[in-house]
Amino acid sequence: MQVYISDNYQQQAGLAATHLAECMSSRPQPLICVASGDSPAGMYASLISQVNNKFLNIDEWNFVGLDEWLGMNGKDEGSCRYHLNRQLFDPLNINAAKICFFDGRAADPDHECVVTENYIIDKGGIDVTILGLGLNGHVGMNEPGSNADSRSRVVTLDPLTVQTGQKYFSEAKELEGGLTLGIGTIMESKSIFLLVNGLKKAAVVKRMLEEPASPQIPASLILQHPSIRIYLDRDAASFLTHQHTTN
Amino acid sequence: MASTQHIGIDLGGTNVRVGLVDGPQLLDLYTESTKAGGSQQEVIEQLFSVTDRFYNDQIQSIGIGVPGLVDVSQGMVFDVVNIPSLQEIPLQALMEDRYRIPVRINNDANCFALGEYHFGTGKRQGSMVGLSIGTGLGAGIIINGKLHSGKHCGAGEFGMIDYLEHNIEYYASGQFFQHVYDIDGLTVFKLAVEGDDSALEMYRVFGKHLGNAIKTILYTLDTDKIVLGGSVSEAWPYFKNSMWEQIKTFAYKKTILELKVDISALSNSALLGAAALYIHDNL
Repeated sequence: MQVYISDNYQQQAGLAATHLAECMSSRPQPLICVASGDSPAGMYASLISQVNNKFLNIDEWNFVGLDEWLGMNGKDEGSCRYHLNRQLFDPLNINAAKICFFDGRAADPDHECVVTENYIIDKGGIDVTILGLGLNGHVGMNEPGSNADSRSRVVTLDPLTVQTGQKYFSEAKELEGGLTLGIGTIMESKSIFLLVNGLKKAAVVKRMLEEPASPQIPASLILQHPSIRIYLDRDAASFLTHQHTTN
Repeated sequence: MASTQHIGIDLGGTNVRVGLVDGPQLLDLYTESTKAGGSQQEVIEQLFSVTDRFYNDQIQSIGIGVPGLVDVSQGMVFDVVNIPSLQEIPLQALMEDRYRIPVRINNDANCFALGEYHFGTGKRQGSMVGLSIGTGLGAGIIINGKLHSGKHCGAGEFGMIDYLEHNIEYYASGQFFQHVYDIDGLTVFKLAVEGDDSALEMYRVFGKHLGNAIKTILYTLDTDKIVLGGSVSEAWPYFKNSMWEQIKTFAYKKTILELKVDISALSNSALLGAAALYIHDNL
């Protein structure tokens, strides 16, 4: 585990994008698992700048979505796919055929999970998984209580997720559930990047890093991954009391 | 999509080279002799005139590499080797006033390292050092994908470190041959190509000094990769082995096992790096 603590969000985003480009470029036809949300948005912006300025070629990259709200897909304003289209896929002009993403509106959501797991196997596994961290310690929609060996599945949402998830929508939404890659699925990716910023995440960052691993903080279950990098800004790191690597 | 063309300038004491650059590609190149002995005004006018050759409204930024001390944040050039009139010049402001696009100034060895990091042998190596070995020894440092210039652009001036009777640059750059054997580097190179034993021996000794210089760098930075460029690197086959013999006396074996030292495969790293300065700043 490597922990990088940056002075601010922009530096954090730039550093993570630099490492991501390094990691992905060393692999043929790499598969990246992408999370939506505010935490990785800056990293995506930096990545887009690298590509648009021809510093980086991503023609070979394939994408898989980390999670989606049940009952929604890219057509729904506020869905994970909707945000990622704006943050990443549209600016990079990614062909939809190179993206595998949960369709939360599908008649059989469980089948969506099978399709996603098979897609990952078909592509030779995930090379890099991008994660944010929920206030309750969730990664993807693996809510507190999730198993370390869980696979892609339909989940019930934690009340806190239902509440904080409202920020993605212009009007109040009844969030009934989610589709997410499992902890076990995430653990099988070759590298994991976890990005966390802001003071409001400082307490959960401390619990994740400085308390014993527990299903109550699902993110703590992935810290044993042999190639996990954690990117924090000063605010998110401000409650830490132990020494962690700083760059 | 918007244009991705930039202008890169390598302002040397001998030549000024200007490139029209698009990402990793050098689209056009123009070189002329530097008016090194000219007044400040004449040198600036020369920079304007060579820039004008490629400037158009599609150009996104201009980057300039100079062999000297630069305050990167202020865009001030303090001191340029072999161009005595360029002292304390707000070069970035002068260029931005004229062209109305972002301009970045940096040390030429830093530009070399940046070109290698984004487009060359050192591509995406995370942490690397670009060593430019010509008449002098310059180094550019990349840490975690970012150029580390230091406050006065003086980071990486390993050549200035005291070593034996003089400093590292005296023994580990092209100066070595003139200083120690009273013969110019180009002549030694030609002799070595013909198989001359004494020339080959000179390169062997040179390689030992360069190996010591690299050890100093490793004790400071412990990098994954070192890329060598500059005129002396053409003689790579003649000093490679003695350089490695010396590097292998480094105390930490794991560092040496994982270290990669390579010759630049790009012919215009410094120009590409100069052109990339502005984008690199904003990544």
